[in-house]
Amino acid sequence: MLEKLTNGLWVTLGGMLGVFIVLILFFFIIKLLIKIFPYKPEENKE
Amino acid sequence: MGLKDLLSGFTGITLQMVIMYIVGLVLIFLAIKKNYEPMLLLPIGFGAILVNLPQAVIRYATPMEPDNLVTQFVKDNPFFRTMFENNNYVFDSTGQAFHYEPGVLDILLHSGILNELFPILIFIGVGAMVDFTPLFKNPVMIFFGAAAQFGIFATMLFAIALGFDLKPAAAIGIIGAADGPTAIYVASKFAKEYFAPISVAAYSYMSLVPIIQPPVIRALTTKKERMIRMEYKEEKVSKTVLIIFPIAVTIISALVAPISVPLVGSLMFGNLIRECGVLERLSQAAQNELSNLVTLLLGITIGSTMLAKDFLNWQTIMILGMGLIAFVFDTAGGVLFAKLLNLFRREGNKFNPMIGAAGISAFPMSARVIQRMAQKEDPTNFVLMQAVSANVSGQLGSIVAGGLVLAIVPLLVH
Repeated sequence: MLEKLTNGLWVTLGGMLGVFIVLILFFFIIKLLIKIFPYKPEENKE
Repeated sequence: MGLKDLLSGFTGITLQMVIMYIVGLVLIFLAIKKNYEPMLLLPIGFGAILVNLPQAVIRYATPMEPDNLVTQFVKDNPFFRTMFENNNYVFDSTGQAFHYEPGVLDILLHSGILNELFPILIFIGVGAMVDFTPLFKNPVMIFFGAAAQFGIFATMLFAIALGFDLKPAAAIGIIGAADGPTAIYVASKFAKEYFAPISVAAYSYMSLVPIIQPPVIRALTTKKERMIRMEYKEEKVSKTVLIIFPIAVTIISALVAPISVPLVGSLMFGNLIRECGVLERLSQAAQNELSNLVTLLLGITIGSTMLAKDFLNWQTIMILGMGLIAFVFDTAGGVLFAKLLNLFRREGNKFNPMIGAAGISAFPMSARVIQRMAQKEDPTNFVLMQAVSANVSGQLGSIVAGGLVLAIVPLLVH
């Protein structure tokens, strides 16, 4: 039981850390993309 | 053919079957009368009735034939059990093998769910329906999509404490992703034996978000916090950004957790079809025909896994209970994370902590719940767009969490 719980804690740690890291990466990608490709009004006309 | 054979339909009914008819009828009632996820709960309920009819011919076309040769072979070589299970054999608790000819529901189960095809097709449809624009307007909301996945892991630990092994516990925890296809995908990999209760719990609780979330949010926030106003800037997003984003997300997900690519890749493929602007017909087909058809088959096939002998046990009750815990912890994780961030933000720029609860994947129910609660406290407060941003992030967060669980758990279980 103790070993299973320890493994569970590792999954929790790795999982939560992993989700935050991946979503932080997505955050910076969004920021970067918006900076590189700002909205231009002529896109609407297209 | 004797009289006994003619009456086998009547004599074959057991009390367990009758209980399953009641379970099926309750699901159908919830779908029709209460409008709780009717697209899934109704087919699941009807499937549960179908598969528990005497002789279950719609799942198994012929009666089970004991096969002693295979029984002995699998006892000597247990690694071959899965191979036989995939080839029309089932095993009882003593390890006795039975051969059968598959019925239509069994064919659908093996060709659509256990090989993960249906969840992947659903994700293409979901991807075509998701509009990431609100997230681009409020990118900071993406962090709530991460925090609200806490329920997955808290529930997994709870399941382990109740005696489940790590793999089934992780599959049970994924109910907290509030994302039906992800729950099905992980359960088909980690816990085929608990597939039915996990799927039913995932979809049932998703429809109960308007009932589950408000009391948890109220318990964790003050009236003053619930009245916090948040500024919203209406900014337009370039089409190029909308096109590059799904491609970039797929590549990053593949680098971080390769096993998540079928999930993330299909979601992002659907989204790319939507955003590219030149595949309107395919986008509409993915959003409508594909989603509807697969949902129809998915629901009735999930129902077909609810055989009385497998479903009516304490584990099912425990899993249904833990599903509720998962949604409670998701909500609490999101709200508490928002309160934590508020400690570092200046007055006038704080998050309404209720927004954190919208970080779950149940879209757009959760965002609507938050807006309704905010307006109940202050009818002039509009937080819907911020809640939608967090809710869209939750869709990303849940799928990433599912992929990470699939990647990490096998490293710890040999």
